[in-house]
Amino acid sequence: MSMQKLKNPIFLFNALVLLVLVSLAVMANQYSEEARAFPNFVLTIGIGVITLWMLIYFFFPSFMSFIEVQEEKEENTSGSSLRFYQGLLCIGFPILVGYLCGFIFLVPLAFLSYSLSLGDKKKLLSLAIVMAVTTILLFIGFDYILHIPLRKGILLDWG
Amino acid sequence: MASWDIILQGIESAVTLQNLFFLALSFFLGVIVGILPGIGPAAGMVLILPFSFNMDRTSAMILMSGVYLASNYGGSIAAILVNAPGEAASAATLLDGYPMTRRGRGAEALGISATAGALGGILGLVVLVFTAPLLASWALRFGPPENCLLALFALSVIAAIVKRNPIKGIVSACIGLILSTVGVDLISGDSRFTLGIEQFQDGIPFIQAMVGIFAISQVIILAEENRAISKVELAGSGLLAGFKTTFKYPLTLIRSFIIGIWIGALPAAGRSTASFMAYAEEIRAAKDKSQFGKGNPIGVIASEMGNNACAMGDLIPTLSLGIPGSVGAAVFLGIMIIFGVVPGYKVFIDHGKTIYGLFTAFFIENVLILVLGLTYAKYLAKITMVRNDIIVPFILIFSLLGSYSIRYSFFDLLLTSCFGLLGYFMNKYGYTPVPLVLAMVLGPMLEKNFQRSLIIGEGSYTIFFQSGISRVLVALSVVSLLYPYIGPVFQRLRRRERIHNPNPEK
Repeated sequence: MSMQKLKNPIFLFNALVLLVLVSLAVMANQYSEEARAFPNFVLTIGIGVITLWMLIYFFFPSFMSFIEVQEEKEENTSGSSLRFYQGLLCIGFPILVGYLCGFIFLVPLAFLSYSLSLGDKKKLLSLAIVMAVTTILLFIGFDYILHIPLRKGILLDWG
Repeated sequence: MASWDIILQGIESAVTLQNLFFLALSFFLGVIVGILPGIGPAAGMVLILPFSFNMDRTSAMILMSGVYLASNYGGSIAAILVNAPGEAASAATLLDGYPMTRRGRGAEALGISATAGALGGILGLVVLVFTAPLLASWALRFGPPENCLLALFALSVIAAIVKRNPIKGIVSACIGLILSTVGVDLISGDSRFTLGIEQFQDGIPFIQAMVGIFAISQVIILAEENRAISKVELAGSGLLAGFKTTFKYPLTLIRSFIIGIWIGALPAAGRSTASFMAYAEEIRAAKDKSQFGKGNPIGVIASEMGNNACAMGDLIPTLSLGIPGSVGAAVFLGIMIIFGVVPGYKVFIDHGKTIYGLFTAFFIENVLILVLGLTYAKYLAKITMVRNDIIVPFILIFSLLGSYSIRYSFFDLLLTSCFGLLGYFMNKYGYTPVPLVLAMVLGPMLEKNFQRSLIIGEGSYTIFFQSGISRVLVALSVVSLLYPYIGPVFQRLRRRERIHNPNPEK
């Protein structure tokens, strides 16, 4: 069993899904017979299929072409893993600030964090205008027109 | 059906200046409501309800009708342009609508959505007007066994979708089915897979999950790839591009319309079920199934036609029997009762002026969808060329606030983000989301009706073979599951026979 095969991202994803399905199967044993019948049926199929994939992947690699067709990758889709992590941060950071300080900060922070880390820093003026207009329109729209109370953060909500 | 006098009175009442103004206002509001994820037609109608209390009955119904219908189109705009389903039913549209946008065909996709949607709405209206009581009585023949088998038949299309990558497809479907079981089981009362989290007691919220899987995952992909939504210059932005494309597939239009109107006539089946079943049926019927999910216009036509036909079909049991066909129809029913329009077989006579005024309003709104949709499609599609550092945060905010606005729950933001990660990795490693989404939509219908059937049948599985409808559905499901794999074997045998015996008559 080569280390290369163990590092394959598809193998890792399938292994994670298998782990989750097995955990759910164990969890399902606590439920009544009617409640666990359908989930057990689905989990059995899922676990069986992934186990079959792993058996073929490790012991019969020549049969992989029968169960998987490599989809053609579209042109110009190469991404950067650094940008991936920065993108995750640009999602997580505004959500965290939104939770702590309220959604009034989430909107402009989403724009700011993205453009400062991943955007074109030369066009900050146009970005600032878009950010301000979007914030105002969203708040007028949600708060006054749709009457959807936007969340106040736990740090700033004293009442 | 009412007399011509009543019908004409209804039409006259709808085309007064005041009512036309209300129609336009509610149409515009409906599109906005549809674009925002989570604020569906039900919530939109409830929002404007207080403004209608001082109006007469016909005007109030017309005010509601715009939101009820136009929200479909708004949901499709968001789905096609930014991969964020504005409504549950729009999730089927984005499967091929957004890939079309990425290839610079966003205007065409919007044009198809407007055309197929308007056509489905107008034809559905005709069926509603002339056959509502008859269809409603037929729909009552579908009990729990038939509904269970209908869901199974629709799910069996997964066999065709996953043919090229069966393992990945089945894993995707299993994830969807398991997600659909989360929450309190209505029959036994057990809380399944909730992990002790209170917000999961009602199950995984569908819209929040879809916004995550499609919109948030796209945010991550766009951030990674540093580009605008459309990878190429806009193409096919002619006014009638989408209009002409729609009519190139008449069989798709017919099939999707029948599915949409029938699912609408079934009580409590919902528009998302109709749009996904119509989409699934086109995959089953197609010769080259690999093109679905990559910008195939047939996918957009099917989902839009099914969805909008269902919107009219939902009103069949609502008006004739007082049984709402969907959540939006349920709110519509409640509002009708508030204004004294009690549903039943005599509603077309006792409240004919209001009902036919409402039908006239629906007709005008469908025409508006067509005209405005085609006119503004190419301008709306320019959103897809907006630079990356503006469009990505915009989609992110729009998706997160939309998710939050459904239950006013911060937990939903986290849930949407987690589904966004799931959607990203599924996309990256070639796991198509179609089986997952189909399974999430149809899983509850399958399981609940399966359990109800067994209760009715006292544990006996023969209940699934008792009615003629059930037997037909069982046969269709078996053929549908096996044909993608056995069909090619038969074709190969037939070809070999032709090679060995080229002149069978001799």
